[in-house]
Amino acid sequence: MKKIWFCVVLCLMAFSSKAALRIDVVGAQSNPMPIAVADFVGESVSPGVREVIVSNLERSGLFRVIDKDAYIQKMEGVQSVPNWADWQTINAQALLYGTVERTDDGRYKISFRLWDVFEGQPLLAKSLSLPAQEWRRLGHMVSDMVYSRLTSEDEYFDTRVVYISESGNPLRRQKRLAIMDQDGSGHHYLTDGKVMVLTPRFSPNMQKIAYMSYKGGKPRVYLLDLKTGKEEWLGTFSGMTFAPRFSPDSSKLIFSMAQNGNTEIYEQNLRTKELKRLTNHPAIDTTPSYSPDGKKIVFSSDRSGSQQLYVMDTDGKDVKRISFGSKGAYATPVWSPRGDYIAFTKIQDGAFFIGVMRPDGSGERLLVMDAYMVESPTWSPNGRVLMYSKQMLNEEEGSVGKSGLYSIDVTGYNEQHIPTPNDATDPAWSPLLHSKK
Amino acid sequence: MWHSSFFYSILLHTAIILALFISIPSWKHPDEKPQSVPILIDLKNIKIAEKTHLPVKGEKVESSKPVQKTTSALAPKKVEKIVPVEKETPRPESKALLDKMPAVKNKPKPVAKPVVPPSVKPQAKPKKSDEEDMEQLLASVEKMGKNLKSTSVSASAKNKTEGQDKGIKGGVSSDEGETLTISQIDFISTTVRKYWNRDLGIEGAENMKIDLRIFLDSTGHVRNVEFSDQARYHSDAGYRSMAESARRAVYMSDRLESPFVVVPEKLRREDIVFTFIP
Repeated sequence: MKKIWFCVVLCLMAFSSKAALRIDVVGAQSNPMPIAVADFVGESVSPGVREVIVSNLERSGLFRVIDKDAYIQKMEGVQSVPNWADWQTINAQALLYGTVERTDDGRYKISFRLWDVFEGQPLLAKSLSLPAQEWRRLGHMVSDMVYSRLTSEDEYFDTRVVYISESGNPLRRQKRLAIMDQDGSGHHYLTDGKVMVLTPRFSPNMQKIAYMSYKGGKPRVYLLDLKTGKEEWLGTFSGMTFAPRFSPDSSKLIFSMAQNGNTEIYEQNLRTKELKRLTNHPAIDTTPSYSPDGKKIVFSSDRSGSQQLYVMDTDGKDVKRISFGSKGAYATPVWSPRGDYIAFTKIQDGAFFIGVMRPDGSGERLLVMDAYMVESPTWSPNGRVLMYSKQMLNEEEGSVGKSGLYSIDVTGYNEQHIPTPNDATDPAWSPLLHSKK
Repeated sequence: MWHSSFFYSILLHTAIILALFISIPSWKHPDEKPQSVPILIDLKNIKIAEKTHLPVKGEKVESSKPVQKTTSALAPKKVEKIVPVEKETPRPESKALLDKMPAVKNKPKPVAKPVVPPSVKPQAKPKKSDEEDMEQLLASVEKMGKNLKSTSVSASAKNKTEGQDKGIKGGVSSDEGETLTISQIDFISTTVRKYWNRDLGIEGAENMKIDLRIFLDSTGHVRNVEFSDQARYHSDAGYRSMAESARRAVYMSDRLESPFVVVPEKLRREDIVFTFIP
């Protein structure tokens, strides 16, 4: 009897697990996702918060925010219930809406919901609060959460960019350290412009900025404390120091030092001030950058006759060349925070390019190539977007035109201009300002 | 007692055999022919006439009914026989079409040949094709009439036919709603693909395959979508993004174009596995 039952159950299982039909769908589109962002109701800053969100999502290149004049249903705050047919009609794939309130302690609190319109399922429901003067950051944080939920990428909108602001006579440029949000808002200067500064870099813990300054007539690496505003000299070195970059744990600084006509890479422990020489070669070794796990360093060197990219261990051993461009020279390598790519500047036949390659040198792709000069790539904290400086040629006058900051998706699409008050070069992208989740 | 039972049994069996010969279903609709006439007039359209030139699959001729006689007279072979007759003896345009049909059976008379004036010939050709068209139409209308006999035609089956045999007569005669044709599978795949919009920057996306299990309701709309690889969905962010974009494509295509209504009713009770390959 048991055997019979066993057979019956087996038959039933076999029957129930049978897939009636298999259909393959091959090849997808890659267009921006249409999304509806309804008005945020509440405080006077509500429209501004919505604008920040809309701007961020559209600038990412992955979303197309549907014009709000097309919305059929008017959402009356975070408690509203969407009428799916109204949103499906305008082909919105996701719907975002919410409320901004002022709390008793003077902060702004934003509550929002994100829905999958065609499935009718909630994707996100959150509340955030920040001091009133940081209301734009609320917009960035909401953008981050929406972006991350819909794309599964890490967040990057709530970040800042430090760069060199250039102004004045071309022969006597004033170069100042400036900082702003990644979308160009909240701009202010960190130095007064009396001394030329170059190559600023954020520390991963967001406490310091390292940069090269010509203070005292001698180019040296300095550290600026972002909380106190105090400027600190890295140390007394006999040679010129430049091209600084922090280790992933912010405990060390790696940089180039030129002594007696030879440029080598050094690493300094910021707590103990211990200095360690990592390269030892008559060629120029410079622009070092750590891998995100802190175990490798990529740098550029002309030891092969032309400037190429090399990877070595953090103790300076096991140096391997990774770029093999037959004609071009490679410079300013930066390891992606995701670890999957190394971005670089390539110079070939008098033209400049921004490109990426795998850490082993494979898969080289040039992303930006239509300018007089492009250089200094920097990664967004999620490793998805590159920012760089770009200078155009003024064709009418035959002179060099303005330089500005641009960003581009790692896929090579969606180049965006970042507005700055003056000419801008040498950007460095900060880590995420808020802690994730 | 035993004799009478035997007699009744014989009588009953004879009645059944007779009924089978005469065709029971035709008793239900004795007035079928008058119903089909107005439809014939409505279908007097060039495009439809072209389609009706195609041979009708599996059409059987039964001689017991007048309507079926007409069908046999309109069979393609007999139409071919008519051709020389029509060329040689053009008929007046005003004659009713149905009146011509008995004449089809008449053997062509060689005497008619010299009688035909040369100027009439060009008129006869289009007339002939018209007549053929009308005859084909009659055949197709009769076929429609036969289909009308079946009272168990469901709405879904109608939809399937509409989407499937775009004007090709007999195209569905072999499909009893048990499975999907290649064209239907291709239609569903193409429709869903239109709405599949994925992010190009997902690492390793080119090597990902997303399997979704889709459950339909009785009306052919999506009731539920399940990810086959739940473990990877929860552990791999890139896979999750791809899988969600695929799920959105299924829901969007269903809401906006309803491609799954072509799925036969029987298959709607079972799940469909979609494999999304970027």
